[in-house]
Amino acid sequence: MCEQRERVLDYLYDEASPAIRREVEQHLESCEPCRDDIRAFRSVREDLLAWDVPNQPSVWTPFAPVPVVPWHRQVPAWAMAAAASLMLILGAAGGGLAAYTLGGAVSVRDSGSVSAAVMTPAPQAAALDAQAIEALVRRELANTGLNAGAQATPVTTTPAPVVRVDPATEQRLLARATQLVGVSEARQLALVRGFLFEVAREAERQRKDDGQALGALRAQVDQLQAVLNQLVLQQTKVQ
Amino acid sequence: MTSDEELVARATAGDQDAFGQLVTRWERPIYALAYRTLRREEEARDVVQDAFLRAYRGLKGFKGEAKFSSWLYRITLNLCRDWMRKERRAPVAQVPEGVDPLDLADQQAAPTESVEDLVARREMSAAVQLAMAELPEEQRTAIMLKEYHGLTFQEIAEMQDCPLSTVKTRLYQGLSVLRRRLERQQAETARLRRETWESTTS
Repeated sequence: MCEQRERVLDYLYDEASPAIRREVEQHLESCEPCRDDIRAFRSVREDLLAWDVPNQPSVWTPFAPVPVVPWHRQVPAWAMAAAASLMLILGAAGGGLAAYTLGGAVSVRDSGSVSAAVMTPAPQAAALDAQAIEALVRRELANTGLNAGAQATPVTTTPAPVVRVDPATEQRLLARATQLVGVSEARQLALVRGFLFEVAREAERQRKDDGQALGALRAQVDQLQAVLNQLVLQQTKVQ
Repeated sequence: MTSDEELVARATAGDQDAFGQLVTRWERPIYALAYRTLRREEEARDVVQDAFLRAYRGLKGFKGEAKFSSWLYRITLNLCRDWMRKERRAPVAQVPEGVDPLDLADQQAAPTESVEDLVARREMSAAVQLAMAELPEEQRTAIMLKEYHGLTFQEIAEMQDCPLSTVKTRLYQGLSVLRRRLERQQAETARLRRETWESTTS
């Protein structure tokens, strides 16, 4: 391999100083392999120009407004899970209170079976406090098997204590629970709608892409047909 | 024309229009580099977007030690390398043997180009892509930066983090391999044409 290889490359790509150029030109007069390299590399460089790059529309839309993220994507997963749990608990509480309202008394199931004990609420019953609600909800969940912690609890035959509420508190809690369940349902509906909207949008985008690809393919086939026709014509003329 | 350096200075100071001008100026070369490296149009477009986004975010860190274009090329090549690593794909897709007939109808054909010229150019393009695909990545990148982007040996050496002599060796070896493959390919094409012609005229 010729020692002047690097200088020959400088010469080939016009990166040699005038002095080096003259030296390389003198060298080429006496070095057949380098002359052959120069000739072949120039031919390769010309061939490389045949590799076109397809035309593309601008891919850059600088400083476009930030796309609006749907609200349900902005809520962290843990918050969604917490909200769902809260809705479940409140729903269970609402169910228990509704049963009480319909029966005219609080009827608490014990150990999965409906208690036969129906008690008339005493007008002077103490207002239901937060602890009582929690106890009620936990018991309801344990009986319906929805609470993982309660599931592990052995079934007891001890009758559940009956929680009494005054009618005003009961109505207030029922209304609140109904309202929260309604909010939860509306939120779930919005989630489903958002999901369906995204699916529909994705399908539409895919449909458009497919349509464009098909159109381009058809155009190519038409052009190919024209080229082939031309070739056949030329061949016929030659024959 | 406003220099890149001036536009970079204005963009760094918060002039968004200046950065827009840089994008307009360099989008096409950057796309060409990404496309020839990945051989995939969709992914090349993604790389261009990412490259300009990174450049925009990194403007304050760009000290102007290298040319803005060299900096952009480097970002682009890094993104291409990341993509190839992630996808575990060969850098350049294999080109099928022969010429895809659909290429004959490529929209980019010059209106005045004859059918024979068009066919010859498409054949050569396919042959070049096939030959380039078989080069080692460093040689291919060095040849692309030199041939299609006109970088100096020194700029390529800085981009590839290697001595100047290594770049020249890569160029020399790559061109030598391309020469052999293209000559073989052209001989094969000529033989096929001759055989086809003989079979149609006999």
